[in-house]
Order: sequence, then C-alpha cells, then structure tokens
Amino acid sequence: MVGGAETLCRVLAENLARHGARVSVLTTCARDHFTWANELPEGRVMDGAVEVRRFPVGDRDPDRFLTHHTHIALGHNLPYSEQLAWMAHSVWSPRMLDVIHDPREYDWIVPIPYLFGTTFWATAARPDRTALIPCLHNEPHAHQTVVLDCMASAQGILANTGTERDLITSMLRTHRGGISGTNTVVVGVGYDDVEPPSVEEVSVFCARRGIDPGYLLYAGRREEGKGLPELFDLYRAYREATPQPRALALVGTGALETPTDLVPHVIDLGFVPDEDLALAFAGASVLLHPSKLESLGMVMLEAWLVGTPAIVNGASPVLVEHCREGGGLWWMSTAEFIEAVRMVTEDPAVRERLSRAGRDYVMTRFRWPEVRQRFVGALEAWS
Amino acid sequence: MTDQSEGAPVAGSDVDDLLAAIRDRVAKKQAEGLYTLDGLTGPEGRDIEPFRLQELLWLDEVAEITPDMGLVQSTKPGVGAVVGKAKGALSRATSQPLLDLAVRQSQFNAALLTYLTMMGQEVEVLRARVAELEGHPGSAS
Repeated sequence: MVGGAETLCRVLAENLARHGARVSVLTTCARDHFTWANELPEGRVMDGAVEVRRFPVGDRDPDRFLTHHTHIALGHNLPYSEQLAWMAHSVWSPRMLDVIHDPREYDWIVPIPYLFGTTFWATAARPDRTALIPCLHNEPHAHQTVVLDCMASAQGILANTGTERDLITSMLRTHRGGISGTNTVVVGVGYDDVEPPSVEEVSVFCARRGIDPGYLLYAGRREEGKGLPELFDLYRAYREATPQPRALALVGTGALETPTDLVPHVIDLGFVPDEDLALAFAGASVLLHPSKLESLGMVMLEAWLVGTPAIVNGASPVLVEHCREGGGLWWMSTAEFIEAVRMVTEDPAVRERLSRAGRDYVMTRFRWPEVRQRFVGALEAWS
Repeated sequence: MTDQSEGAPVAGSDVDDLLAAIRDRVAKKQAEGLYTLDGLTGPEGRDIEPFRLQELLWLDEVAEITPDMGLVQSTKPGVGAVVGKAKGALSRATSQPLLDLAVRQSQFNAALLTYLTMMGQEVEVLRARVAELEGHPGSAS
C-alpha cells in the first residue's frame, strides 16, 4: 500500500467481496511507484476474499514520461500527441489490457486513480463498462485534455466527496462543449462502528513507544507534496509562540527529513502497522493535515473515528468540506494555525466538542452499508 | 497551558464560531504587535484580482530565458571582424554568470507560472460554480 487511493482500493475490494461480490484486483508486478520495475511474480493469488491478479508492466520510457509529467506540472500546454505519449510512457500493462478487453472476464472495470496509465488505458479499453474512481485533485495534470477525455468517456464516475464531484462536473461541463454524458455519484469509503481504544490501551501504546499522550500528530507520506515542509514551518512558529508546546509525532515513511532545529521536538513513529494506527490517532491531542491536494482525506476520517479532532490546511476544499460538519478546524495563515492548535489542545471543552462531532460525522456519512449501497446502486443504474 | 491573554472558553459553539474566535484572538494579538510577519496572510494576499487562464498562455512562451550568443557577431564594414572578436571575448567572459542567472530566472518564472496557472484553474472552477449558483439559487447546499 502506497497512499490513499491504494488503501481505498483495498478496503472497497475487501468489503464488497465479503458481502458477496466477485472482486478481482488487477495490478502490476511492480513494488516501486517510481521505477515500476517488475519485481513480483505474475499470476493469481487470493488475499482473503479478494483475487489479486498481477501483470507485468509494459515497455515504457521513464525519461520521456518524467519530461512530460514535469512540463505539465510547470503549467506548459502540451500538444495532444504529447499528452498521449505522457500516458503511453506512464505505467501500463498490455496483458492486463487483454483481460480488460475481454467482456467475458468482468462486468465492470473500476480503475483508480486517474493519474496512471493503467487507469487511462483501462478506461479506453471498455469505456461503457468503466466506473472510474479518479481521486481527482485540482492540479495541472487533471486539466489535460487526455484526462478530461478519459473521464468524459467513462460510463460513470465514483467521486469521493461532494467537493470532488463538483470539481469533476465543472470540468466536464466545459470540456468539448459539454457533450459528456458521464454520470457522477459520491461513494467514498466506509468504516465499521467500532469502539475507540480505551485510555489504558492508549497508555500502553505510548509507553511502548516512549511518548507522552497528547502529542500533535502528522500521519502520511513524508513528501513535499503532502505539505510537510509547510507543517514544519508552522510547527516552529507554534513552538515560538506557545509557553509549553506539545511535541509533534510523525507516522509514515518517506525521504523528507525533519529540520535539524526541530529534531529534539519531533517524535518519529515511523511505519505504524494497521492494528496500531487507531492507538496512534487516539494518543494524539489533534491531527494536523497540511495537504492541499486531497480527494477524500481518509487519514482524517480515521482520526475522527477514534475521537481525535483535526486541524487542516484551509487551501484544501475537500478537507474544509469535511470540517464544516465534522470534527475539525482549518487555518489560512500561520497565526490561525497557532491559535487553532492552542484552542484545541488547551480548551478541553472545545476538543470534546470536535471529538464528538468528528465521530458522529464519520458514522453518519461513511458507514459501510450506505457506502456499499451507493457503489452497487450506481453500477446497477449504469448497467 | 493557557496564558493570560487567551479569550474565554468557546465550548459548545459550532465550527464557524470556533473559527471566528480564532480570528478574534489573532486580531487581538496583532493589535498587540504579535503575528506581524505572517507570510500566508494579509489583506493584500486575499484581494488579488482574478484573471483568466488564456491571459497566461503568452507567459509560457517567454518564461524560459535562453541567451542567444550568436548576437555577438558584427557586420560593420571594415571594423566588423574586430568588433565581433571583442564582443565574443566579452560574451565568453560573462557567459557563465549570465547562463547561471538565466537558468535561475527561468526556474523562478516556471515556478511562478505554475502557481499562477493553478490559481487560474481554481478561479475558473469557482467562476463556473458561481455561475451555477446564480443560475440555480436553490442548488446551493
């Protein structure tokens, strides 16, 4: 599992399969999402109730892909042929496409997420039986004509949030004169109604990790794209403005290192296994979410599930949408960040109110039965 | 720990009230001389006039700076060869810092253009949203 889209794919597949659907995950033999080298054996394996089919990555020119990818990120306008080359040299698998092309294999293809060749070419292979989960971000890559054509050709799109649905709708409304008949519905992800960890369980976890409960928490990949450098700057400012600042704990892995001056105040929890994640969330006073580009924000929903409020980057429409009705606040400036963290960590009544609102929000909007119903209902309506 | 400058507790409020309380605290501290150097805020940052993406297209063509060393040639009759050699020597002497400057300026231009383009795309989306809401007031949710 690399990121949110992969996690969403896994939990959706597992849940649908547990409830009687025949689900296969078509993926590649690669482990590294930078090199896409074929490392795992081709073939079929069962992972619980889900069949996993691995196919070798096809020939590609990584340099050509990277050149196009970078030019798009820099805002260059690529000709259509070069946009196609961008997708042609992204990750793809000809043998996977053979399977997708065969109508006897699967009733529906559900490619995820939008930015990869596997998704693009799968949609092109059987658009009338494609329910695309784009996990769309409002970034230059999303506005490329080939991406819009891909979305416009799919039978339907499964959005993660209302904000993402609105973004997709507005983009397709003006694309090629608004001729797309693509349907878009919000499905998202589901959670089971489980009790948050007890105080004792959290204490044991913190003792085992050598940390005091009540820390500030960042959970996610340690990459610039996730806003972590900005969070380090904000955290530094918070420390300077606060008499007794909390420590910052980091969950997740990545190449981005903690600035030297912050190292004494940052707790590196590294990779935390799934079974301990809820404990890591529950031990925090607040989750800090600095990412601007989110299509769902699963980390925040998981924190809310165990009663930990969040403070998020106000530049992310998706996270703000959640916070308006859930258990979070957002910042638009360094000063607002500092005051928000201080309010949540220093006023127990505010934290309690946000904690309750967050958990209620997840259990109201993201319960598995309703999510399954939305997913299956959409596919039935489009059949 | 809450220091003495904090406001009264705001428990029981909704998110808008909590955010208003945060902004009040920020405003009070700014009045006291704190938070004066906040690179992410300020009225000028929030009042940028919207622009259209098409207006940015021409910037794409001029963002990358490539000095043309061929311009050192001279065609003046008689002294052209000498002037050309002098210009060439001057050009070679200054080429390294000039190219470094050009590369750095190009990188800056590209980054700036990226931000402008992303902002332009967001403005387009918001314009469409506003048009939708103005056309269908009941669809606001």
